[in-house]
Amino acid sequence: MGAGAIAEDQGCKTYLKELLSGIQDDVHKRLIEAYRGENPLESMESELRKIIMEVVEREG
Amino acid sequence: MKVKNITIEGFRGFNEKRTIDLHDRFTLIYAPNSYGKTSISEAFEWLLYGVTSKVEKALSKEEYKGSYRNRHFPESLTPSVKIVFKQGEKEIEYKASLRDDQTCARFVNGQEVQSWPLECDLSKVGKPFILQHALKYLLLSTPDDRFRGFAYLLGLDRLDEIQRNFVALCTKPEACIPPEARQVMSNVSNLEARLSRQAGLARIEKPYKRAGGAFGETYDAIMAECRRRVPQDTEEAAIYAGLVRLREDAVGKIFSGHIGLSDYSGVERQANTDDENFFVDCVTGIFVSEYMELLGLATVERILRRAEFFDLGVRLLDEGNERCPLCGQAIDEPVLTHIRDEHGKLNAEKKRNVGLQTQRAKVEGVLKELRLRLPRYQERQDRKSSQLLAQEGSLEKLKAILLPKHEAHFGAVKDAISELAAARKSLEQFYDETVERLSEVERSVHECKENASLIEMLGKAIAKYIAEAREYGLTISGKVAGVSAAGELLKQELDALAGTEEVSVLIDLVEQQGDIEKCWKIKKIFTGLKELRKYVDQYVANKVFEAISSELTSEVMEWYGEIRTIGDPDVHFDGFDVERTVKGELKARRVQIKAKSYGKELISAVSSLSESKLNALGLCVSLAVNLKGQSPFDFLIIDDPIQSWDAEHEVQFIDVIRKLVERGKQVILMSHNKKWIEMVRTGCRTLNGWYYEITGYTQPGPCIEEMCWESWKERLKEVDAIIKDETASSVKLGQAEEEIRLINGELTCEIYFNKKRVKKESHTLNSTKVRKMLVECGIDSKLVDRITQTFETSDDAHHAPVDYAANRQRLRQYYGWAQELSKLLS
Repeated sequence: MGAGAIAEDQGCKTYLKELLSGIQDDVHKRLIEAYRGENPLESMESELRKIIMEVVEREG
Repeated sequence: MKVKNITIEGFRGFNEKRTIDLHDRFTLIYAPNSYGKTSISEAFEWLLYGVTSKVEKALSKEEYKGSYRNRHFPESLTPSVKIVFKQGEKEIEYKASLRDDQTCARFVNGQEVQSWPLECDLSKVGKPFILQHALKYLLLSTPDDRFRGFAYLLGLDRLDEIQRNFVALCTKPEACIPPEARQVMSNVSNLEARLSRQAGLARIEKPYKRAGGAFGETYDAIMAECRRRVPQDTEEAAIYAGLVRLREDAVGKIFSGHIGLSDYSGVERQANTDDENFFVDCVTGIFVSEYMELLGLATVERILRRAEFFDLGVRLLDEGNERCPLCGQAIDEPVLTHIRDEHGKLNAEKKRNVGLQTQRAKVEGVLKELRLRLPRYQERQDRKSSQLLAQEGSLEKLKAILLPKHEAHFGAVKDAISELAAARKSLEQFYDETVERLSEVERSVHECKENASLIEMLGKAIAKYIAEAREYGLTISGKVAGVSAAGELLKQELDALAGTEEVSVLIDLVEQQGDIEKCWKIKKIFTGLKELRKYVDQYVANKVFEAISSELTSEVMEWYGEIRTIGDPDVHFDGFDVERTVKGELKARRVQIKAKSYGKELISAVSSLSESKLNALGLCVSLAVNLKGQSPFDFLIIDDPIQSWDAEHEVQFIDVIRKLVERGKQVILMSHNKKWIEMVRTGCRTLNGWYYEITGYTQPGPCIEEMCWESWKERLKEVDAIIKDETASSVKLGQAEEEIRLINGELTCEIYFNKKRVKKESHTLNSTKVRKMLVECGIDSKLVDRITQTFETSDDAHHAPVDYAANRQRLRQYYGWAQELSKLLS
């Protein structure tokens, strides 16, 4: 378990699924869904940057 | 599953290959510190989990990088750990090899696998280890470390990891603000500061602060203030323009224009990248080949003209004209055949070259697009600096306004103008050269004079142009902050001089409405992250609460009862909980250990229990977790459990070991404490496990020797006592029979060593091996027969007759034979 995509093991997936089931906020949903890969924190940070950029680039 | 043996090679303290056979009930390993004892438990951990807890818990993983490999192990070989597991009668071999990237390759019975074929999720069951360093930090540690310790023990590591990642994200989201958003937020923050300084705009500030979402109420307040500053008869739609004019008129008398510089937006950067990629594609690879292939078109065109000519000639001939349409001479049959053959060949050639014509159109299309995109790209670069460079002639006026108060800011603007002017001039030169080279290439295609050197020169010009544009972009980015700050100061100075501060703030509020709303949205996202963190905290706390309350508490209580001391003050463990807030919500990462003293609940067990009690409690937690039903492991590795324990706890723990074995656990117990190991050997003598001592440590690795658990002399005395005890049960008689087998095994090993000087491990012997060894030593064949006979009923239960039961008469006979063998030693 020290190797490989740590966010991909079954235990982790179950926790994330449970977390997701109680979420209404779209931003929070996207962040939980972004929890994946070798470095889930980096993946979530990247998603948050994307969300903020969407706000900045939105017209009007 | 239980462990039959473990083979370690090149891993941690083990250099040369060593195999350790493990008793299916109890194996005891003694080794002084630093003799490689912990490497054994680490080998188990690493094989099963791909990482050792020491490395997993390390603050700096870097410090442990490369530490799995033994320093003396040859570079050409791969460190590995192999464990043979037993599942009933079935044996299965797991092997882990260390890869260069420190991960492990897994093999089951020699076949590589991605993960171990276990029916459970390893991350969700307790680990079959009780490690001294884990116990030490489980209770006597910071609340956060304690939480991590419990998460590790309960197999909730992933949950702990999820929470830590969410906490990191939600507590420091500022690190994720892209530069564009940072700029927007900074501008809005400056505007808010200016608004709060204008007493005359107090009526806006209130709804502004209240809003934080929709702009409606704030906008109404802004427009009401705007209306107050323009003539009464101004129409609604003209209010803003009127206000801008008002300010420009007042400020324009002092300074006209604006000092500003903005960095490339995300959209601009993307457009630049797209254009640059296209430019590069135009002068590399496929396009250059396609351009060069057009050289063949000059020949093709001649063919096409001839084909056209022959088309016409053949048509005329087909119409029955048998004379040459040019000279009027008669055409005979051979000439006619020649014309038709030539026509056929030309048509075939024409078909082959249609592709080349299409290619020409394609090349021309690409060049056309390049011609279109180059000026657009250049214009995008120009636009970035044109506003600032337009102020080059106003520097003296600017100086008069900003100096002496803002000398540094004036210097920043002056430097930026000078550097940007030079950069832009240089960029324009590269642009002009690129366009010139493009024209040459276009001409070559048009005139069918394609030339490799022309396309090469265009390629070089484009590469230089792109490099220069990037340099220019970097210059702009480097100047943005200084120029923007100066521009803001200039604006404030001008407003102060012209008395238009309030008007200026109102204009900016209207103009920056979009940015203000974006800023609010971003802040709302950040506020929302606090809620997300709280949600994750609650989820994790609930999961941990579920895991530690009820079931775990009662199981830990049961084990704690086993090693609870009675002579000391009545201060004892009283269960687990998760701390709560005053509102009753579970606190994040706070495992509470409760204690009672003479029936009264104490505030904190950690502060009330002695270190020895806390360590004993830590061990009980580990035991309870390991014995929970879901684990596929029937073994338990206990590494140095008794450090900092008092003598009473040490003794009581021996009973705990016996209970674990009796409950079916295969226990592998390691310790550096020789005195305690002796106590365990005595206390657990009837378990008849295997005992190893690591007697030294050399470059090849630990020197592991199997020692006899109890001397054969002691065992003979024990058997004699059982035989003489008329009340001894059949279980006791069976146990005595097993003792005889152990005695004979050990005696055989000793006789063999005395005769052959070769050490054998008595636990590996069966009747066949014993017979062979005794024969080799020249022992009388009748005695050999008798000794091997003792193995027939006690060696393997399934070799014994179905209705077999130990009996005193046979036992007496066995005892006599064993004594006879022992006499050979003296």
